Parts: sequence; structure tokens; C-alpha cells
Amino acid sequence: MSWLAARRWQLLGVAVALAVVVAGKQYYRAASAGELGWILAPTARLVSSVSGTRFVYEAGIGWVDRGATFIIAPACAGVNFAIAGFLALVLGWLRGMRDARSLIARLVGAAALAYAATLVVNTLRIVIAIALHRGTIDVGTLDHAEVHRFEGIVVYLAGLCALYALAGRIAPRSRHAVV
Amino acid sequence: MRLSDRLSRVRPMAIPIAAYLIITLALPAAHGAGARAEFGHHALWVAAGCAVVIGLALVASLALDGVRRGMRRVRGGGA
Repeated sequence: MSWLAARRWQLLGVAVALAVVVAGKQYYRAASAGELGWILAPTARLVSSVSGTRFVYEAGIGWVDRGATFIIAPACAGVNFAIAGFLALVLGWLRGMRDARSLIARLVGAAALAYAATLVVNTLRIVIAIALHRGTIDVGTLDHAEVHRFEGIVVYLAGLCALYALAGRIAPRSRHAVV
Repeated sequence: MRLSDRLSRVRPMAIPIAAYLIITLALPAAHGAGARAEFGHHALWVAAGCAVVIGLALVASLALDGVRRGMRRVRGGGA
């Protein structure tokens, strides 16, 4: 059997992952708050319950808490994290993709896990951002916008690494790539 | 433990970090975002974020080693 034939399901997995990445980025670039409701609405609900805020939907803007003077806008949706998480999980589970069934199971599993992880990690990121905004976490004379940006990068990166490590533990039969 | 051994501990972070870099830097750059000054600024923050997360993982790995060594010593002393 040729190298290509032996790895056809893995190559198909990579192709699907790359197609999702490109299509996802394209979709996210132009999506409105309403169109992102599938991810922004549950995130806003989770943030409200964790931080004691009350975010309500305002058409054309996003989820707003006027008391906290904070907006969960399309840019806060975490779609980039979801796409990166999906890509990392698919790459990590490649070795377990040996036939159509295992390929579909892993692609669906990666999508579901990436979505759930996005809700959790993005909620954490936004709750910390609200604490920074309120001054509960003191950043002194540092630029609040830069601190908010850096906090997002660190929380997302750490969340991605944690998601990848967790995926290696919950799917041992998939022969996770490096964990 | 040698530095190379220590660094091998953070090797599992390569795929998630690479995925993040592809999504946040490589694809926007391929889309022409690289020409904007703001993009370079953003790339610097992302690089700093990567350094912090890898650094935290190394510190956590050191701390875990310390805890394991301590527990082994306690068990050995009690035997």
C-alpha cells in the first residue's frame, strides 16, 4: 500500500480542518453580533452568572451591561480560539483517524470540545477583563487596553494548551500526537 | 535536569501554540494585515504571550519536580 493510500483518512482530516479554519475565519470577519449569537449568547449568560453582571442583547452592538459599562461585542466571541482549538485537536488526534468512522468521530468530537472549551475559556477571559475594567484587579499606570489585550492572549494560549493536554487524557485510544 | 530535558517537557505545547499562531498571525498576514503597523504591534504582544505561557509551564514543571522529590524523600524517610 502506498504512503498516500495508507494515510488517506489522516490527509482528509487535515484537509477538513484547514477548510474549517479558512471558512471559519472568513465567516468571523463579516459576522454581526446577531449572527454570532450561537456563541455570544451562552458566553454572556455564563459571564453574567459568574461575575454578577447582567448582560442583555442590543441589536447591532452585542451583549451590553450598562451598569458595568462593558460590551461583549463580536470581537469578544472567541471564534479564533474555537478555530485554533479545533485545529489543534484534529492535529493531535490525527493518528487515530484510520477509517471513515474514526475520522468523523474525531472531527465531531474536536468541534464539540472546541466549542465547550471556548465558552469556558472565553468566560474566564471576559470575567478577568471586567475585573480589570472595574479596577478590582489593579494594573497601576499600565495602559488598560494593552493589559486587556495581553490578558486575552495569555488566557487563550494557556487555555489552548490545557485543552490539548485534556484531549490527550480523555482520548487515549486515539494515540494523541505528542501528549 | 539539563535545559534540553526541561525544554522537552514543554514540547506538547508546540501544536496548540502553532495553531494559535496560524489563526492569529499567519492567516491575517496572508490576508494582507501584515502591511499595517498595528499588526507588528499585535505580533509582539502575541510573542510575549507565548514566552509567558511557556515560562509558566517551565516553572510549573520545576515546581512539580520539587514536590515529587520532596514526597519521595518523605516516603523514603518514613520507610
